[in-house]
Amino acid sequence: MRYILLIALLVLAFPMTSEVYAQAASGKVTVESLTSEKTTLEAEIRRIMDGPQLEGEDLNAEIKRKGDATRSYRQRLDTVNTRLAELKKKRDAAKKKSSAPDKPVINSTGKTFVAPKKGEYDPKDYSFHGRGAGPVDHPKDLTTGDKADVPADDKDTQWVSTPGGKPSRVTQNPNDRGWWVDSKGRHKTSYWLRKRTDCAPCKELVFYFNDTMSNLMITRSMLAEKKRNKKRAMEAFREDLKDATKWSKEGQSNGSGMLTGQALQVGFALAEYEEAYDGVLDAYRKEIKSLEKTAKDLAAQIAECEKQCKDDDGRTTGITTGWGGGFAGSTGKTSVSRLPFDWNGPYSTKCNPCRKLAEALNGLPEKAYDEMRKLSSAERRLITFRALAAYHNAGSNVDLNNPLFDLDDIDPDYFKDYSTAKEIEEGVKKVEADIAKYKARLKKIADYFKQVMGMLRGCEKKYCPDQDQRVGYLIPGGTCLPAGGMEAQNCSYELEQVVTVIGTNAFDAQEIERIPAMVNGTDSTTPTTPTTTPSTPTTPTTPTVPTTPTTPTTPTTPVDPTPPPATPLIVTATGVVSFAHTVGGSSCPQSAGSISISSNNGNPLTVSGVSVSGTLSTRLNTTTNGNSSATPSITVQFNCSSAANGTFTGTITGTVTDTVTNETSTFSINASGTVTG
Amino acid sequence: MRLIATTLLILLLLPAVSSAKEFRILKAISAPGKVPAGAETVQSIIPVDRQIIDKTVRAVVGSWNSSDLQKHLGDDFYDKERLGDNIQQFIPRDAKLSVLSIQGQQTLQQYEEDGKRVSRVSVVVQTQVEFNDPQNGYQRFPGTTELVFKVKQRL
Repeated sequence: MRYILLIALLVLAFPMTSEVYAQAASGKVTVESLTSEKTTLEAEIRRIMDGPQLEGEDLNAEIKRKGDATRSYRQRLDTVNTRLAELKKKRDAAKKKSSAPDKPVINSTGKTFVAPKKGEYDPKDYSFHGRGAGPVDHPKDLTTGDKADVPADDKDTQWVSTPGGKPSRVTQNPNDRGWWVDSKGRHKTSYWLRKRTDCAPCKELVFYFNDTMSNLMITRSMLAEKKRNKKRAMEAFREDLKDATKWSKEGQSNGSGMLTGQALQVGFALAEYEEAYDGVLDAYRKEIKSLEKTAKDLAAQIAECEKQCKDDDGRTTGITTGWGGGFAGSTGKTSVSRLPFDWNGPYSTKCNPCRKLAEALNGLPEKAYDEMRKLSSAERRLITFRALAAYHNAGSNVDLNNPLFDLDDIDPDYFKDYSTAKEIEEGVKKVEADIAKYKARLKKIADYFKQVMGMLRGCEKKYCPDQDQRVGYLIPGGTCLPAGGMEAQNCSYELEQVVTVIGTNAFDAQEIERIPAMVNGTDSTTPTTPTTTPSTPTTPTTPTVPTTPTTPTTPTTPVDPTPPPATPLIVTATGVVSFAHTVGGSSCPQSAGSISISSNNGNPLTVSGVSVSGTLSTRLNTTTNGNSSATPSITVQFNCSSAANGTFTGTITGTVTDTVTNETSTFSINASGTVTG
Repeated sequence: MRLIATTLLILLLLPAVSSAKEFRILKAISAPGKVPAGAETVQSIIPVDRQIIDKTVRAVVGSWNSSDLQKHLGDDFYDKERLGDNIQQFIPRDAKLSVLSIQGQQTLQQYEEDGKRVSRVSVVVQTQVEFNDPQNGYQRFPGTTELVFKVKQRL
């Protein structure tokens, strides 16, 4: 009986302790009990931190001593906070579940999201497929707080319902910033709506493109969120610093000086935190740049790849990535800057025994991409670990429910076991080991690529010495465009040679070298296109072989930036101008022939400025007939102005104007004649 | 006599311009040629569809002065690498080659190999290199060339 009374007395004297014992005995931990413990711990930490400086102790020693003294309390506080957060989360979830309507109301007009009907969408198109998704109408009044964040007229944006009827934003715009704010002001990530292609050879590339874009959206969103959180955290720190400075001033004024250390501690923590966080933000920025570069490379490759699937009108049947393929300096080869080897494939070989090796090469980018995806994911995880460490080192208690650590976009469950400094340190080590592992695998793939490429070259040399040894692209030449009932995939071509008939051969490497000189008028190697046909000699006695054409090849002045019509005026002058005059025997004037003028477009022409040069210059008369017709002509006569015997030569030149287009061209015809007797 | 011979020789060398009324193209006559080992010659040549060649010509000409050109050229194309290098070095970036007209086409040779009908097709094309020179203004260099393609069609 005495014992019972004693126990009853003890219970009455220590009611709190008995409650804790009761809880411990039942194994039940409640939010209330944890909150109580938290208050006690915080009070104890505060008491130690506010304690006086010991005699002979300097500032650093004081900080160290107080840090050591509070370590166990702080660790316990971390645990308590974590448990509290978990419990609160569970309780909130339970509350939400019990109050959730059958069809969730998502806006003030009472509009509801209705799950899309089967067949209306393909969940695989959404980067969060597997969690269920489907398109819904644009909820224009979805955000009431910050409408500017959600452009209603963004044609690349769609709204979808996610499980539980939550609206989410998806986009196909590669320049989208990747996030939006919901009606409660919460930061949300936009999802990448996958692009699809019907062009079979390009499907793999489109898969990688979608994967990269999905990562890019997430990373852009995370950067924006971390920036905002940093700002928020820095403001809180500054408030603390302000208070601590105030206290330290009070401490100094009353002579104790004991709070100066705390002010400094907050100051140090602030600087440390800011530096750590800047590093984190830089890492995100670097990752974004890298992803953007990869996406652009892949977009260029897709644009190139889809040319294989052009229809009759030259349109591609596949996708537009939004990031076009035309980049300055593009090599046109399918090189991917991020691949850890010098990829210029896909590869093929003409040597049958070596084909397996070429196929082995073609399988490597996919393997490398797999490792690169894992590496990228691990690197992002490391960034978050660093943020956790920065937050922890700055003296705050790690609360995974803090918006700073909204980790849904990475891996919702990954970080729940990391709340203490030691756990975080172990986590960092683990992720660093993963990163090293993926890097090693990538290196192995790169080495393998080199090895197989070497083997392929060796194989070709050994088994096919007479064939072209070069490892080529998968499709040598080009694939015929569908025409005349021929399917594109059933026909290929390659240009074997180009022979010059007349004028400039744009496929002749030597001739290309001369073009700059021809532009500047310093090239005299080869006459370019004559616009007139040199006359054909009829008498063997006269040397009428055409000489250098006189028509300039390029109208050089004035500078005209507007190109002329696609088909330029080409004038053809034909005819033979020749005479044999016998003084006293032939008629005067004597006919020397005629010149016919025509053009390539059949328009009416006028001939002007006809002149004769050479020793015939004073001996010939010219008369133009049929001006403004499509085929004007020039009659030429020997005028008998001189009876001097001899052989005379000259050139008849003139200007021809197209009366429809006003284009002009010149012609020239060689002439010759003899005077005897 | 020597003069006559010289004149005749020159006339032979300039068949395209020797006609009085028009440009005439020297057309090759299709004739049996060497075929690769294992290939079978055909009884009679089936001309490659004109539309296929037209589109092919436009694709090749359209790719001139771009990185795509190389892939249209066969492995035996003369000075293949140098052509690409020279275009890059000597031709302005805005220069383009346009097709003014596609003239005669002829299937010169045909054989069957690996389940494919391989044809060697000649096509005469009038083209023009055009670009704007900062000092001298608009430039054009017309030319008529004969392109020879090897076309492989699945049987």
